[in-house]
Amino acid sequence: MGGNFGGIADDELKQFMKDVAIADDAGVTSMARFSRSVATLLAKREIKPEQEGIATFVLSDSVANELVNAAQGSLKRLSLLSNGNDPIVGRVWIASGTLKDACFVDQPAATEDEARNILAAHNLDGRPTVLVDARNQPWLARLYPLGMAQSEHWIEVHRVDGPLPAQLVEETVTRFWRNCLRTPALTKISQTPVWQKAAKGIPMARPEQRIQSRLHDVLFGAFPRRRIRSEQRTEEGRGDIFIIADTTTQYHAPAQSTDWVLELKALCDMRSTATAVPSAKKLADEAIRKGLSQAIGYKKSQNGVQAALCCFDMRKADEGHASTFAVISGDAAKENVHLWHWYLFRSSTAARA
Amino acid sequence: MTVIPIPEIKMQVRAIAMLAALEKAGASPIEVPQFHAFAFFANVLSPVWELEPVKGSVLKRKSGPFYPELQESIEVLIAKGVVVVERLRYEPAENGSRLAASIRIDLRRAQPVLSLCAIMPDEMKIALFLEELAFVFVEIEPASVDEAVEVDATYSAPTATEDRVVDFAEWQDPAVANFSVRAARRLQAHAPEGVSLSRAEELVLYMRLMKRRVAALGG
Repeated sequence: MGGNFGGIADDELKQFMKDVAIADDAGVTSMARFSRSVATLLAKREIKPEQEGIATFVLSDSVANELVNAAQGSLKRLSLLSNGNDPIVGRVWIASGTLKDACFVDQPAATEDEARNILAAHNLDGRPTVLVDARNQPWLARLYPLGMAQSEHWIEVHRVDGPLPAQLVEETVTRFWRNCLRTPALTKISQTPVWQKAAKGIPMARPEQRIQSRLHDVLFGAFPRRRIRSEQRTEEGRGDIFIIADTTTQYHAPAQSTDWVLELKALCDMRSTATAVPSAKKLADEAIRKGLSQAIGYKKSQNGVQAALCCFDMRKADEGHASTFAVISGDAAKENVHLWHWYLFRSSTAARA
Repeated sequence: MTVIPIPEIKMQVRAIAMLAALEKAGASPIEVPQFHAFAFFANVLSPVWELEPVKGSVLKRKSGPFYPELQESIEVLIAKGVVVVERLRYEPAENGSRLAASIRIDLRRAQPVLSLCAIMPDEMKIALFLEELAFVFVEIEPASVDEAVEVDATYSAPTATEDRVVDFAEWQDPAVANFSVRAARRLQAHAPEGVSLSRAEELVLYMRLMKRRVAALGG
């Protein structure tokens, strides 16, 4: 089918799609964009003269408002921080998700605790923040999605080009679970909660898709040198999440390598309609078997380097890793598919127990 | 008590939502003509997000798209203090000179409206669409925004001549006359094997195509 596209020829559309990468930043939250924007800025600044120290970047919906609210002259405005022409260390930055608009205050911090105290003093410690530790090379970056006041909730921003080891990816997904899914209160923070009535075990409709969209967002921010693709079609079906590296072949042609295939399963014993899932254990085993087979299939069809089956367990009792994966652990080991399991508590009390 | 007609309220709410999205993306203050250009893309591309355009047509002028009703809303919002004029200067125009303003939203004053929108599902959907659009719109150099409209599929269609109304959904069937949406959806046909484009991806890719077309104009 050709068709009429007004002032644009179909051949131009075709050529465009040949030349550009699919926009993996489309649909992600401003916080995930912010994390990636900071990572891109670090790549520009790391090679330029900078003092040793710490820089903090606080996400703002309106830099203009920050300036209005601040004491006269206490914040300096800087446009196009994203260009990377200005020193960043020793400053507290308040910036838009794109870093196109920003303001800052010179306030060097020698340690992370000092940086936290500075943000608290400015009443900024409840806002999404990226803390950059530029005391040693390579610089380290950490995203605090709930602000530095809740210092236990953070995600490392991995600016690595090389292979992504299993431990690193598992740790990142574990952090995602700890920050976003572990208790019902945490799952409510985003616009896509996974529980309808957590105490009764009633999930929202299609909890797996909700978890997938939130995990996509987190991985986008955590792995700025990778492309994150969701719902990619393959002969075996639609892969949940692929982590892709842009690379070049030995002949210097652009190429892609699927570093990771993540197949997600949300295990429930209640439906969103508040009715119990009949034979929940049997269905969960079937879902896990299917998940493994999909992970193997996608890994093969995409020439994936590694694959993992990620189970988010929303059932009443936490069976644990071994029991949940008992039906597939042998096959998974043979096919080198990692099996990861996280339990979603139905109350904060249960999580504390 | 003054009764404000609903279309005017709608237009004011949309103006606030658009300026809030641009502010979030770090694209403000914004020159008024650029704001009208953003409004043009928000209108012409809204079906990609399964939304109705606020205006289904636009007057094609040499100086870029212009919506009189939107301009009126901005002026009312300036008077109310919800929109702030950051810069005002004279600039050359066809018949002498004209006043050029850069505007931004005052989020504190707009908050009651935005808070109400944040609990209305339709308005939430619009806010997400506008945020997605604003984050990709900001990638186009401010000085090139007018050119980005010029190279839009609908605006640059052979049937869209200067000083005439470009109708993509007012009287015309949008399925036929909105070439921008047709082009955005056509990208799927040329996507790599296995890739299913989401509506956000269609929107972002289409705007990046505009950026590329503008760059090509510069040689």
